[in-house]
Amino acid sequence: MTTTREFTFALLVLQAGVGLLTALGATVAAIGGFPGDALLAAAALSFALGQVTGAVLIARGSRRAATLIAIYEGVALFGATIGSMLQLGTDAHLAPWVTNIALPAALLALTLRLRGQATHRAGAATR
Amino acid sequence: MYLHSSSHLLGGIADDHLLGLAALALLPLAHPLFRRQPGFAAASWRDRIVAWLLAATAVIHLGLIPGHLIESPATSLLFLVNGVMFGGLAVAVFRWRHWRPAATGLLLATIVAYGLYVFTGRESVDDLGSTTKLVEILALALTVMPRHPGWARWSAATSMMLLTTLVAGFLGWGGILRDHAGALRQDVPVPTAADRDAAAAFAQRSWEAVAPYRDVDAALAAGYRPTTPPSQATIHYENAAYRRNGGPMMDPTRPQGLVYANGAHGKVLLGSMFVLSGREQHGPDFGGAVTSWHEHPNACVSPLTLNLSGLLTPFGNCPPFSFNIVTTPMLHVWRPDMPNGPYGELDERWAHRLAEGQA
Repeated sequence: MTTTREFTFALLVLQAGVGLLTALGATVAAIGGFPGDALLAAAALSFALGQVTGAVLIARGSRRAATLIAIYEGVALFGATIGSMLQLGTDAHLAPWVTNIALPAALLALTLRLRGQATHRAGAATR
Repeated sequence: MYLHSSSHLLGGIADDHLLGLAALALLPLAHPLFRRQPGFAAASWRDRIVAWLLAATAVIHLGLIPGHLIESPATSLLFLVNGVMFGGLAVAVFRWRHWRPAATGLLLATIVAYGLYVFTGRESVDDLGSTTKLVEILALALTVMPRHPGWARWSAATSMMLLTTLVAGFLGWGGILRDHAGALRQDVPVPTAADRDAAAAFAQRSWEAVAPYRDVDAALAAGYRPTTPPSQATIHYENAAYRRNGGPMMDPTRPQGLVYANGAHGKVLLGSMFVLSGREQHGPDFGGAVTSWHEHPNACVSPLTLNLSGLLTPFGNCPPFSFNIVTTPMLHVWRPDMPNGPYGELDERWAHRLAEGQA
């Protein structure tokens, strides 16, 4: 397996782990009396499962998984950028910056690179 | 008198940890050291990345030593031992066949030890601590990740990464909740005897003034609504009409918030809460350090559910479709017989006893 794939796998699993924590937080809020938060917990859980599945598929060389993860990270990055521009809170701090901006940006760059590599390989095979 | 909350990048790092971050400037010095190692040329990029991550956590730990030397020499000694061991392992990646089990053990021990340290109140969670844990979890992931295909090995490694992240986050959350959910406090001068008297008198007046709201239905009729999950042990209610700009800030008969405990026989009033209308405002600290205006920088709210959707994780995340907000400054004024004082940190056991009708 290439270093890019290995690194992408590790970062995606890390991102999934952090996502699972947010699912836990929303679950506590839902159990505490805000039932609508159960939807957010379900969304966080789904995203985390999607990230782990994507990580496994990327490790196996799936170009489609790399594309889907790239789209997801692009959307996440866009949302985080909008959030930080609105200056609603402390998103500009180091830890939120690392997990909300740097991590999606790194994954976006890595998945785009993997897509490029896969396209290049496919092109070379047809020639 | 300013609260500590700020939006600049280093605002979430404790002052005595800034040297730890600055120490990262020394990281490039590891490059010539790595290149001189016999196994460097043959090492995979993955192993090289692990070596860099181990070196990064080593210099951060070493940089934390001066900030803790006076207050907690034992902690400084642990940082020294940790830093030296991580530094040694970073070099060992290129020299020692068995570096992986050693790195796995040290990384796991360090992540769990940090979690227990903050969980038990020996240290507060800050951004450098959280980010360093992310670096260590990533190093752990790249260390334990199998080199060859195999369903069982990959599943075990993936589960370990997820579990480590969850345990680190869970323990970090424990530490944050212990610190009044990560509240940031307004600086106040040392109180005088007159300050103490004024604060005690205000607490007594405040408790008497909210007597009608001991019945939660009266509070609801007056416009108070829950702002924290209503089934939890303690619930905050707020009255939006009393939060508008221009209204009296500290009218004991019209506090912006009320706090109840959930009991077997209904809700039990624990005290009132005064909330400022803007983040830039400063609460009147008539009681000096007796009173404690604070704000919560780590609340998550969702525009979809229009309420609190959780607490920011120690790694700085909110649930999907949510965003982080910083609350406006607030001041709790508890029942005068609260064990930690009417302005102190809420004693959960006392609140529980009240809720169960045992006090």
